[in-house]
Amino acid sequence: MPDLDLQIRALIDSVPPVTAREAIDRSSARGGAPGRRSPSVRGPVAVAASVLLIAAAAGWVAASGEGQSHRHRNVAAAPIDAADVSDILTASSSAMASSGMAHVVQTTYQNGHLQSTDTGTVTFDGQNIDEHDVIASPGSNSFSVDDRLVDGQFYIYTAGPTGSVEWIHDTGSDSTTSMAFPDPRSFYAQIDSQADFEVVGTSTHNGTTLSELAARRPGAIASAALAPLAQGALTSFVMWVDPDDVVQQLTFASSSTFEACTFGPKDLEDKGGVKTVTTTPAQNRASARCGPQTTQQSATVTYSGLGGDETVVAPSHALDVVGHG
Amino acid sequence: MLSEELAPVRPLRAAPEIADFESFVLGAEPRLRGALIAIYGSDRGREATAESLAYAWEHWERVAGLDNPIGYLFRVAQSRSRLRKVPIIFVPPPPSAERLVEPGLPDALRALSASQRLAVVLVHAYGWRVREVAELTGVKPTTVQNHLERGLRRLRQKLGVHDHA
Repeated sequence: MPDLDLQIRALIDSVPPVTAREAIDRSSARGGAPGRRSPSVRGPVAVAASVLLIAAAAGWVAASGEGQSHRHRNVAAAPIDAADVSDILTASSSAMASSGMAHVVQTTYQNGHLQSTDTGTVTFDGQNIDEHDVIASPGSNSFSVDDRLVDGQFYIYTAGPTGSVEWIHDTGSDSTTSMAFPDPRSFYAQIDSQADFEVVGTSTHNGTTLSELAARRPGAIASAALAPLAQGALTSFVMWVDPDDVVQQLTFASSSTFEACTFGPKDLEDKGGVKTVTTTPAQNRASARCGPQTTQQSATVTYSGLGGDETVVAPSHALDVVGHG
Repeated sequence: MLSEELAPVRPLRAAPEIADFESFVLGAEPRLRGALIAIYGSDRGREATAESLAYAWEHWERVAGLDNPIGYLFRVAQSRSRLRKVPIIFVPPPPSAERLVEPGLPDALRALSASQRLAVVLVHAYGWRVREVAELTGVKPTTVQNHLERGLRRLRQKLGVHDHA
């Protein structure tokens, strides 16, 4: 074994050097210019860089460490305290207050079988939100949902009263409950120091180091606020935070079990054209099968373009309909 | 010819200025990187190095005129490093005949205080003078010497090795 000084040098020198070109590129990507300090200014170039970063991050999560991403697991996880969680909430709220995007991927399994995969893009501009969601299920054609919330008014792109697909302005009082996703900023807002977050590793994406924070007690996070991406108890909650304490990506999973029955034809009674589960006579219920159904959901939310120039406005033409959503 | 829309929004740097910066980075980067990795670990130390050099480029006129630009950028990196919650991790190099590293070294280094690590890495491994580390960190040379001796003692205890100081 070489002397200690040589070993230390080998350890340090194994980290690739930073070139002048890399420093210049880094400065350019955030709009840095000679003689002025502008790291906090997020211009279009920075937004584009952010999009690339997040795309890489999303790919990394899916592909377990390929491309330009590097991931390291530390030997001993480091807990963070309530003040750190508060810092993350404050920084993320500030960074996402104006505008940005969230890429959402959700999968739902029932009793171990894939039920559906949702892939959505949510754009937020203040309180206005635009959503595009593609839902795919095994053995079925995928379909998409497009909706928009502008100045508290709900719009959905769907078949209207005339049968043609068009933008509908749903004027019903509860129309906003039909949004495909809730405001994506509500997801990270659920983090709670009671969940005992700890830093379990880091990943580097295009030169930016993200901290991986995992909840040791995910059940302490209110899953209801994550619906419909989660139901029941949370089984995991992990977030990746950038050097400015802004959440760039989070993943969470949930599981719920309930008693459910499947009925055969003998259990159903036709009441005016509506199939209803019958209760009498008892022998007709022989084919009903009841048992626990376990639904497992997992979701990945990746933020990008924070503070960029995304705008969400009402559709130029929309048909007023009450209660369409 | 570029249209007005596509024209650069700010003047491009003159080539001699880029050449000056490249020359500066060649000399300063290894020292800066060694110091910052000693404190923050492999990934975060490199990130801090890149960040401080980007800052140097943005403020090149000022940085180029400083007496101690490395010390200045070292402090810039510390003030701009916001990853205080990230654990310090030293990633060992792939094993080779030239770069054989005791498996316990990364954890043993991590067990030292940041000041001890800095002194051990820069003075013991890279041959910096104690006075140079003192100038870098803004402390007295005797303090650096103290960190060095305690750090080396603790490191050797952790590794169970005996080395020539």
